[in-house]
Amino acid sequence: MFLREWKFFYKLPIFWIVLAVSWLSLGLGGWNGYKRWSSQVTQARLLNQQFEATLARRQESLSKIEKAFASGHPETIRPSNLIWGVTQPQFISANDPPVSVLPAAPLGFLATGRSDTLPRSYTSSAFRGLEPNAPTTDDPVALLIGDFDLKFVVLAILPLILVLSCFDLLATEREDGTLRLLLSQPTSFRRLLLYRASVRGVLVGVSLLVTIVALAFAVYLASGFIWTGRLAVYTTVSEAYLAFWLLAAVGVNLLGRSGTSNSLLLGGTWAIMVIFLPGMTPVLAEAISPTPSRALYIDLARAARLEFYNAAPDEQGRKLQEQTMLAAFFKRHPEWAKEPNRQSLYLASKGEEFNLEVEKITKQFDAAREHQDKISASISVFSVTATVDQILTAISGNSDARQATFLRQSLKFFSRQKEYFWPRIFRNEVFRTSQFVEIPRFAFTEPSTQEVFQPLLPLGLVFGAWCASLTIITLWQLRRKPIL
Amino acid sequence: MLEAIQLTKQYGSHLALDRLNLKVEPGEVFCLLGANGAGKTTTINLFLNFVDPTSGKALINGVDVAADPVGTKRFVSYIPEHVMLYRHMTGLENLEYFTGLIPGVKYSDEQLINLLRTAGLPEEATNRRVEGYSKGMRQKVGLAIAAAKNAKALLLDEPTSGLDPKASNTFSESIAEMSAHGVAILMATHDLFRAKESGTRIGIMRDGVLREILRCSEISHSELEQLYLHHMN
Repeated sequence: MFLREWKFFYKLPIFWIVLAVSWLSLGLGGWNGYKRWSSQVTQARLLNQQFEATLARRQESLSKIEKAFASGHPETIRPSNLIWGVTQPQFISANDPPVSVLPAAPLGFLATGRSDTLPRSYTSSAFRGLEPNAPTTDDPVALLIGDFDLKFVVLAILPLILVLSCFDLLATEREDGTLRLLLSQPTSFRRLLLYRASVRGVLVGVSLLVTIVALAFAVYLASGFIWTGRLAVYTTVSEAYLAFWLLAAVGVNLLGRSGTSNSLLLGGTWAIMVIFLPGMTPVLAEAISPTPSRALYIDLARAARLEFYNAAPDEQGRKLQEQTMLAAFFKRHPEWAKEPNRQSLYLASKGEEFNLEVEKITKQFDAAREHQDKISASISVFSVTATVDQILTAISGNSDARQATFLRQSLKFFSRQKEYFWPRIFRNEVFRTSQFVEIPRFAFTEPSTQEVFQPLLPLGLVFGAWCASLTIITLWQLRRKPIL
Repeated sequence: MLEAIQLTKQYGSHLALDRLNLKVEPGEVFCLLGANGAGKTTTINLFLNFVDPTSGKALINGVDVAADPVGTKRFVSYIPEHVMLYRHMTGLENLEYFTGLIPGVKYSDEQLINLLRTAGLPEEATNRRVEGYSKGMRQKVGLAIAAAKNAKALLLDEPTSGLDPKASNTFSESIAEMSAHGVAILMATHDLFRAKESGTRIGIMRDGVLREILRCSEISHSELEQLYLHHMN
């Protein structure tokens, strides 16, 4: 029966349209995702390599100095290197600060998330704290058309293809009378309908499966690693989402309306679920819980920087500024009060003070954004697409949660930097070649499976509820006698 | 083979078929005559389980069609007034598709071409798209579909309407041949002449009621016409 319907389907012009559009969009989406993922892998590797190469150069210079002292010819050393150079720990910490780099998400090629627009690396200077590296410049064309990645194809294009190929499963046959002849054969309307729908579903579903497997294979070849478990979950959710649309198409076909009515109903549902509701969600969330503008945040952060990093206009003012900041710093860190390197202590106090001020501003904005995100999540349950969007983004590893984990780990890394460099800087210790290996390096720890999947549970339940309700409605419709 | 027992169909307040009792034996051609709305097509729809009876039973090969709608269709073929086929497919592809719906039946291309030839479709037309077929040609494909099923009963819903006299005559010959092979045939028609020529018995219906049953061999054309008009007035 399936093969017969398959043979029937490929004789229809719509078959070739479905095949061409599916493969084109899947190919383009897959390629875009892979390109983005690949550039993130390269970017992360280059940043780490750059840092290690700089350290190697410094280590080599320091080794020369140590050898000069050992051979009894210290006159060969450039004086600047001794006063303010590689022998000084602050030089390493301030001039070539260690970087924390967020590696490309192992399944990042499957979905672009909001995290892709956030900084993927921070420099962590012992004096100034964590500073985001400039984000990658986006492709202007990509900015214009949005991220045409695999997730977009799964969420928007494939359902549209299914809607277009399934709105008329048996409607024309009903309209021109072929259905009577069909149903005079020992078969039932529901069998015919389900087989026809499944043929279309299999074509689209298998195309998606092939694309995901091919992409995963390419990624495995490039990186030697693939997250098979999560890949399987991503594939299952994507296929279930397509099955949802297929089921919706079957349900609409069961209403016994004309092909035109079916197309309007299905097309309208697609527009509401895929375009209108997800598009309206941020607008509604902003109306319900407005967040201060990003421009205001940048202004406030800039004002804080000016306040802390602009020196006072006269000597007296500078001294007062220094005294006030150091006093506050020693109040927070009494253990450093006796250390000799006052200049470094002042720089550290300035950095910390600035960070504390920015943290206050950031906290306000973060709290407002978090509240708005919660409202967005609540509104998005009305759209199955928006719900699945969040699930797929989280599984792929490009969610805000992974970005937040990265920031948390970067802050921890910054603390380790301080723990390592501050005593050496404040005590004016000389840095040795052998110590280069001790310099803390950042290694991102991926959030655990539980951390990834636990927040997805409510979304999974919402998606499950959507699927269950549609299945019940369709099953109920299937029990009814077809309208001839 | 085909049997209606107190078969009734009511649409709201409209009684489309009223307690029809009818039996068509193997090899018999039973023609249902009547004006539009007399209940002829409703009877066929009930035998095909396209609609559920309000009361009574429609039996095919002794099995209630309402109880086993798919199973009973193994024993019955159907040719509607307009055989609507898939226009983008050839006659042969259409036949292959429709016969493919019968479980356990698999015809080779040669056998399918033979079925079309036997139904009277010109050989050059078998591999031509149906969109270029005349009504008569489509009717022949319908006949081939019916023959492919090797069914014990055949339901015809005004099959010769709109056919030219020659095509109509050829069609009747095919019906006679099937009847000779023991197929029970129930034909709804407006065509008194064709009913008298092809039928074994004739039933005259009006307002959902089977008014009279006649043996074709016992009545002339003019008598049939008189009787028909009598029932219609």
